[in-house]
Amino acid sequence: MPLRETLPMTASQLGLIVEDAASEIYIFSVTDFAFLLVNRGARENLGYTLEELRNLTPWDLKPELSEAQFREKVRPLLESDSGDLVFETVHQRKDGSLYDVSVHLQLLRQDDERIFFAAIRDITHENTLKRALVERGEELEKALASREVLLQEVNHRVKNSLQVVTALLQLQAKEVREDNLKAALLDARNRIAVVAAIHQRLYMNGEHSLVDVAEFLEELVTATIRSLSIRDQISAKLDLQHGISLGIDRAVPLALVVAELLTNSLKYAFSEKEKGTVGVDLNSDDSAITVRIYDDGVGIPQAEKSSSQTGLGTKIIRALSKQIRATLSEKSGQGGTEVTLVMPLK
Amino acid sequence: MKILIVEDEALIAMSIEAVLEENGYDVVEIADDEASALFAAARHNPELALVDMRLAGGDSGVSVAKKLNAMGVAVVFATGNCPGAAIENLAIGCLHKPLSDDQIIAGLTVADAKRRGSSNPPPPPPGMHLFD
Repeated sequence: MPLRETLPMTASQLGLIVEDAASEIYIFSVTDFAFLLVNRGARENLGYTLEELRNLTPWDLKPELSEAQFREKVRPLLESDSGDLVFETVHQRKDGSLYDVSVHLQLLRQDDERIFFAAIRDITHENTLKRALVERGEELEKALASREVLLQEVNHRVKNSLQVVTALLQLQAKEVREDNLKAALLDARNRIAVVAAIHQRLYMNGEHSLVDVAEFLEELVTATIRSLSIRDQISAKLDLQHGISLGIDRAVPLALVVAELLTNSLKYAFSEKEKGTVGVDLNSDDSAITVRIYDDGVGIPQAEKSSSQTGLGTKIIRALSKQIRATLSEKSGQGGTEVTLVMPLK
Repeated sequence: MKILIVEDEALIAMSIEAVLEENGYDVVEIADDEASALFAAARHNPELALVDMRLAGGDSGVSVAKKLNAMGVAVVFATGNCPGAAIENLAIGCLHKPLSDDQIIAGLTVADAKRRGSSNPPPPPPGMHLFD
C-alpha cells in the first residue's frame, strides 16, 4: 500500500525507512554498549555485517576514543537520563581505512528500557573542504604580510632617495657664490624636503598610504621657520585638528601649497618687523578640509608679488591647488595676511 | 603646432609645457582627466595630444585617446610603462617616462612627421616606442 495512505506509520515501516536512510544509524545497549541494530548505510560504509557489529562497541570503531573515554563522554547522558551529545571523531572501517564523522548521540527511553541512538554523518568531504579553506586563508595571510613588508621597504627606499636628492641640492647651494643662484637652489631644496618629509612620515608611522595632516603641518611649520633662520623672531600658533588622514596623492600637493604660502608669509611679512606670529589652523568636516595660514606682518608688498621668485611660487600654488581641487581666498592688509584653502574630500 | 597635454600631476605637466613652449609649440591647455581633456580638445582643436596613460579619478589614457582620435586629434602616450603591443591605432607612439627635455622634443618631432604622413620620418629617440 502507498505510504501516504497508511499514516500514521507503523514501527516496521519506519524501521524499513531507517534501514535505507543515507545517514548511518547505530542503536546500542546502555548496559554493555554492544551494537543492537545498525542500518545499511553504516554497514556498507564500515564493511561489517550486522553479526560482526553485534560483537563490537562504539569504541571498537573509533581509534581516537578508548572505552574509558567513550564511557566518560556519555556519562552525563546516563546520569541525567536524557539529553543528546554531538561530537566529531574518526571511524575505522573493517579494512582499516578511516573516515571523519560527526556523531549525534541520544539516550532514548522506551517504558523502562533505555537505549542509545546515534545518527552519524560521514564528514570526510566537508573536512577536506574545511582544510582547503584554512590553508587558503593561511596562504592569503602570508601573502598579505609579505606585501606589507614590501610596501614598508619601498617607502623606506623612496624616503632615503628623496633625502639624498635634498642633500645634493643643499651641497650644490653651498658650492655656489652668487646669492640669487644660492637662493634658487635652496628654494628647490626646501620644496623637495617637503616631499621627503611626507614620505618620512609614511615610513615612520608604518602606514603605507595615509598621513595625518595635523602631524605633517606641524612639522612643516617648524621646518620652514628653521630653514629661513628666523626662529628667534617668529612664534608659531597652531590649531590643528588631529585624526584627518590623506592619501599620498593629495598630501604631497597640499603640503607643497601650504609650504609655499607659509614661506611667502615668513619671507615677506616680517621683513620690516622685528618679531611676529605665524599661525596655521586645520579643521575638517565630512565634505572638506580647511587650512588657514595667517600672520600679523605687514602684508605682502605688491613688488614682491611680481618678482620671478614669487612667480614660480604662485604658479606652483595655482597648479597644485587645481590638482587637489582646492579653492584659495586671501585677505591682506596692515594687520597681516590670511589665506584660506578649502580642499573638498571626495 | 597646437598641443594638448593630458597629465594629472600638475607640476610634471607644467614642466612639459615649459619645454614645449620654449621650443615653439603652442600648448593650448593642460587637462587632468577625461572630461576636461575632451572639453579642451573641442575648444582648441589641437593637432596632437600628449596623453598620460593613468589619469585622475581612475580615468584611462586609452579611453581618452580613443575619443580624441575620433575628434581628429593625434595622440602620443606618455607613461612609466609603455604597452608592449600597439593599441589598435590609438596612438602614433609612446614616450617612456621619466622624460628628458630632448626626448620630448625629439619624440614630438617624429610624431608630427608621422601624423603628416611623411614618407621619411626621422627615427624615434631612445625612450620612444612607435606603433606602426
